[in-house]
Amino acid sequence: MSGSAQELVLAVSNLSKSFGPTRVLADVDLSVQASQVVVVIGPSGSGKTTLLRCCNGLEVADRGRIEVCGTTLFSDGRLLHDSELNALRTRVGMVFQSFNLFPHLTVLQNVTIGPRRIRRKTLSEAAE
Amino acid sequence: MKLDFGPVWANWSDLAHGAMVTVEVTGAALVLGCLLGLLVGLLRLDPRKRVRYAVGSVYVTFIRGTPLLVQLFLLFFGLPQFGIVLPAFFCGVLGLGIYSGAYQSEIVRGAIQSIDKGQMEAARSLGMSHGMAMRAIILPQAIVRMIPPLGNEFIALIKNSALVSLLTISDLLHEGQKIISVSYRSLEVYLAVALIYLLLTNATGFALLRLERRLRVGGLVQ
Ligand SMILES: Nc1ncnc2c1ncn2[C@@H]1O[C@H](COP(=O)(O)OP(=O)(O)OP(=O)(O)O)[C@@H](O)[C@H]1O
Ligand SMILES: [Mg+2]
Repeated sequence: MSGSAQELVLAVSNLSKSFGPTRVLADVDLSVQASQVVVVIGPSGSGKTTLLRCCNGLEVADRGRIEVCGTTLFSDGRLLHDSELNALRTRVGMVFQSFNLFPHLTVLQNVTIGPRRIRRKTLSEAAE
Repeated sequence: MKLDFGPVWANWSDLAHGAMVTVEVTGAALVLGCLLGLLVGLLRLDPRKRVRYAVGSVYVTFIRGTPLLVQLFLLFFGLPQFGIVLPAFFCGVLGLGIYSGAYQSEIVRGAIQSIDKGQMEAARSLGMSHGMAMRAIILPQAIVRMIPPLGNEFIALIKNSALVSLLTISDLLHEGQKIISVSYRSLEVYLAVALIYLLLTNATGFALLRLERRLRVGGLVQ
């Protein structure tokens, strides 16, 4: 890894999550720096999706800490406040395993609805 | 036994006027019912929000579990005991609207809950608030799914509106009964009344079918 001053975009520490008796994430640590490409691999059902969902605040972990772009998204069993969470999410992209495209919108509308509705950009700006 | 539709023709304008009143009562009740239905449907989306859910449930349970006629009588004959005297037309609209709202709320709730929950998650992951995701992503898709059951509900409402004739409202049925009281032609007049209801219900059904097709073509559904 080059340069020690690399910006840390994602920092996960001691993250744990159980669904009932099933322990899915057990003290997971992960750090991703800007422009780094990271692959998480594991067998089906090993918790890859769960980890990503926790990092987006779609799933609430039980213990540990998650920092995204310098903002603490999750710590001590508590998620960031809704409005701050929404702001953070506009800066983080997520592609779902089952895509979850919006079927009532066109392709262009699907890719531009985020910037348009939330950051109040015009269609041409968003389409860039 | 000969049928004599003379009294029907002779009093045609009264029947037409009654039909107009039926359309007015039903139309106003429909608007009220839709508003209540959407509101209560949204209230009951999440059982974890106890108070909201309980309020909605009490409403749906009471309204769905008691006869419409009893509800109408409570409004029209019951409320005056508290000094609340509402005009008959207003009582009819209020009673029918509240009644229909309970059924419509279940239609709204069912349609929203039938939308894949990944849609809400995807919208939230873009940074939308819950309310914005509901308005921009979930409701436009849910509305298309609401139309067929809402069509049933609207048609039921037209037919149920005949009960307001018992609140002294001069609706289609009431006008028919007035004609019968002087002509004694029950069969002919009730047949004519039934036919007019049939026209009203089927016109509604047809209009909703057109609307559904339009929304589909308009790309509101895959
Ligand atoms: N909402 C939930 N409720 C209960 N159990 C869940 C839930 N979500 C996931 N699980 C369980 O957590 C475990 C991890 O699931 P996850 O979807 O994270 O796996 P994955 O690594 O993404 O698998 P795949 O490679 O098949 O996508 C599985 O055993 C799954 O059944
Ligand atoms: Mg997965």
